[in-house]
Amino acid sequence: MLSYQMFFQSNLISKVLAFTILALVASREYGIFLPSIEPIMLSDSSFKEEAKIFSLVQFYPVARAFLIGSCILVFIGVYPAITVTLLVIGFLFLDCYFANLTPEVWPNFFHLHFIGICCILLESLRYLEFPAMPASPEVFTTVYQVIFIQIGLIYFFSGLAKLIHGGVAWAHNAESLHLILLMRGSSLGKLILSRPFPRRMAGTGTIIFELFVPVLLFIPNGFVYLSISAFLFHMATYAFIRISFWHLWGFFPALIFEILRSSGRI
Amino acid sequence: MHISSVLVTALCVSVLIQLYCVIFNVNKWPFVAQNMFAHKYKGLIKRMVVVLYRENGNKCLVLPGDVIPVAFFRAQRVLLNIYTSKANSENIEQFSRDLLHRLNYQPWTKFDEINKSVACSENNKFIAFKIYIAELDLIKEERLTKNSTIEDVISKTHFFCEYRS
Repeated sequence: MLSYQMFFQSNLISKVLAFTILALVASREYGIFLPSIEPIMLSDSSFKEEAKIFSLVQFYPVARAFLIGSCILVFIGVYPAITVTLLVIGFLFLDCYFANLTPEVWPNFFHLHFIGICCILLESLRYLEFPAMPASPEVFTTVYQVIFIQIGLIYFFSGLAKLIHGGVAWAHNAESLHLILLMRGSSLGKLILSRPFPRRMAGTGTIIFELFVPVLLFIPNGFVYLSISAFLFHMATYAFIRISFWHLWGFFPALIFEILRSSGRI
Repeated sequence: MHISSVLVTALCVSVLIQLYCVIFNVNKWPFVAQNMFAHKYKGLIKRMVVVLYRENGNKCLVLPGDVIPVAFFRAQRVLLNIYTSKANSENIEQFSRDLLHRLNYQPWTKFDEINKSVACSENNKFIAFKIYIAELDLIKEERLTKNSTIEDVISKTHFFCEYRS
């Protein structure tokens, strides 16, 4: 019997994870297209060997239905420790399959897997007793802090990669920004970043933001400032180049809520 | 041993692997090199472009992300992998046929990083496409306008493959 208490059994972060995975799995990319190229890739023996691809095409509808079902169960709050584990493992498996179809392209869901593993821990800690490893309320706070540190590191590594592989020229010449504006820039983006100087400023600002935003975590309530500044950063990238990265910042409100709840401030 | 120390140790290991991926620019699923925009371009930039032909003879130039429903940054690699693969030619032809059919009869809307499909009118379907590797010279369009597109910076194109229904 479903009840409202059941809904509040699972962590809010697990619910956001379930909603995010549901949106991705129900989308066309996951839903229709990518499995359709599997027979082509598998009939190329050299690709098959290199990418270590495994066949899923016959079982794909079942795998997708399994994930959608898990998402719904996690969202409702049915046996969260079990359903979150099934959801995270199922998504790991499916994402690995899709990543193998284009192994050269960056896998952009690392943060979802990381948060997913943390969610398994958060849900399991509520029900399991480890005599040798006591789960105090502080442990929950530590898990939230670890998630925020990882989020901060995503920005830091992104800035570091630009600096290492693009150098100072990445910001000074701003060719990457120029190219992406031509490929998918919005009217606003092309208007504001029409000339080289504002593009240079935007490039420099991006690197500075990405390298230094994790520093916010060292100040009291820094996770709130990090969330707000990262959200504004993503809104700017969406307004200019139509890249939102919603599957990361969607977690910010849930994380803030859970941190405040675990520390007794809500 | 406390759970928190296990967690912090796991985080440290994960950070070291991520650092390795970033420094050596290697994507090792699920770890990511964060290299989507971290490029240093030397000279002309190479990008795949697709020219679609309509029944009335008109043509339009689009990007790979506009002809297949995958994230825009994955689309070029998908087409490159398919058209350079040693796969069965019938499978590849079927893929090309499906590509046009999808554009003509099953258009898709924008979702996240997946672009909207190229618009196709009722009585003027797409009947063929050619794929080119274009060399882009960004200097040609240093000052952008709201109508600036990739087409404005193409300095040279190299034929890659084609399909005609």
